[in-house]
Amino acid sequence: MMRRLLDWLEARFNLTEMFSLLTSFGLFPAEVDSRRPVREALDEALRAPLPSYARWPRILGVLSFILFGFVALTGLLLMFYYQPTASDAFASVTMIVRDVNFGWFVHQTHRWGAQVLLVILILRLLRFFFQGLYAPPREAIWVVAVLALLVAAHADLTGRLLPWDARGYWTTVRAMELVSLLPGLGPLCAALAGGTDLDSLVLTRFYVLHTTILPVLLFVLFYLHFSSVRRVGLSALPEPGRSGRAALKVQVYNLLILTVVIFGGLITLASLLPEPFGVPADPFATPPGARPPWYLWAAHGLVESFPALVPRPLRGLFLEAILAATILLPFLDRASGRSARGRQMVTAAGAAALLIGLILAVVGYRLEGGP
Amino acid sequence: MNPLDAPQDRRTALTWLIRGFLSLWALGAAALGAAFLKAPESERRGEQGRVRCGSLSTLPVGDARLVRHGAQPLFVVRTSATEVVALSAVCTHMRCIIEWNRDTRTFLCPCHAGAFDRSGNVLSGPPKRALAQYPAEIRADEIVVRT
Repeated sequence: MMRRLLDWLEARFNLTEMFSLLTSFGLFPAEVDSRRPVREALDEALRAPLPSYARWPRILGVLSFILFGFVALTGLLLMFYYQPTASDAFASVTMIVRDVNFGWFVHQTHRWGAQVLLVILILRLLRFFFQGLYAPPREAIWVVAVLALLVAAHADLTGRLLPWDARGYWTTVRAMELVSLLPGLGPLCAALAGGTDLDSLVLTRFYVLHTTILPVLLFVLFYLHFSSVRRVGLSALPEPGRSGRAALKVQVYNLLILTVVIFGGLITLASLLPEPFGVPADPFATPPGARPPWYLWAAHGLVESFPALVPRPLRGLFLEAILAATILLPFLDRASGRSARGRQMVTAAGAAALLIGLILAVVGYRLEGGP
Repeated sequence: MNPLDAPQDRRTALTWLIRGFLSLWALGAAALGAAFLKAPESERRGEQGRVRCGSLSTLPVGDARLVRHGAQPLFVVRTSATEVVALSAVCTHMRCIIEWNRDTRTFLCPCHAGAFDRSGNVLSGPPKRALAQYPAEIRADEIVVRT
């Protein structure tokens, strides 16, 4: 029965090509020959050794894509009720968390899923850095990973304003203040957002950015990432991997179990540590403890740690230099991959930068009073 | 049972256990999504009961007034000095909103020219059923209709 249905569809669609889309996003770990019928191609793919990039424990990429899918799905559900105007936004979110069945759950897992996604994207970047996975020919993997983190951070930032509650509103105000420091990029962001004063127009733009433009960008970046990984691979694992059907099963079940664990974690976070959802935004009263979102604490700390005589645009320029250096790292650090000594120096520099970043984040956090 | 088969059976049982466990997750997620999508009773919809339809004295005897209430508007028709009839303003043919014709004192549907009299009965045109009628009362010069 299944077989006949499959044959019927096979004669009318290129099922193998459709299936290979899963490979394009790392969900199916083996290569599929899209010119062959789907059953043959799958048999062949299962018999071949698993590609090195798809073996346990290389799951941060797939995991981030699964989380992206989850956040996109919960976001889609929220869009069914959300109203993106300054006058109705808070009331509609209140309705979601109070009146709609499981609305609080969808809302909280959406928020927490985004935070976990950002953490995983950062971890992935750290892994790429400390394992030198940006040396030629893997420059694109690094650049795409940094861009994906930036896009995801922007998606999170634009999402924080949408409920139009006091916390989200003032977090966005503080973040935009930081962004406006950047020469060139600041005015560009303000133009994209429709102004620096947060009003209904800005809210609608944030809504469009948050629900359409940034997710599509992120999706494209995921595609580029997996495409590049399949072309150039990641570094070889020290031990020979298992191959064939058994290895694939192990991989798929590992992924499934990990997904369940992640969702369990999300549900736990959403239930035990719900993000507070308080009072509607009031542009004339700043609540205590208003600070930029956590991923900007380091930048905030850095900007405020300069001596007072450094003009603020210069501080913004410094931030931009760090950003550009991060994106262009593969083209700046060309020699270190050749020698063990150069690698050690880069690792030490990276660790130092990470430590300084963490200290600056604490500084940035403590600059603000309140909880 | 042949002892040689035991590990195989155990493996099958475990496989089915895992599949069952994962299916439960999928089922739970689907149920959650479906429950989420069921719109809550909104306050407007929950307002079963009284609709305030304005004062009686501003409505001349024999005239009708459209009351914009929710997605189901209604007409109040003053039939005498003290009596008011409340009729649904939704044509029974194809859900168009009917209009009051002050000259002929009839309701006319703009879509397919169905016509109703002041009590909601069909005069002509495609509609088969009379307009729905709601109980109306007057409280201190205010027309109140129960829907």
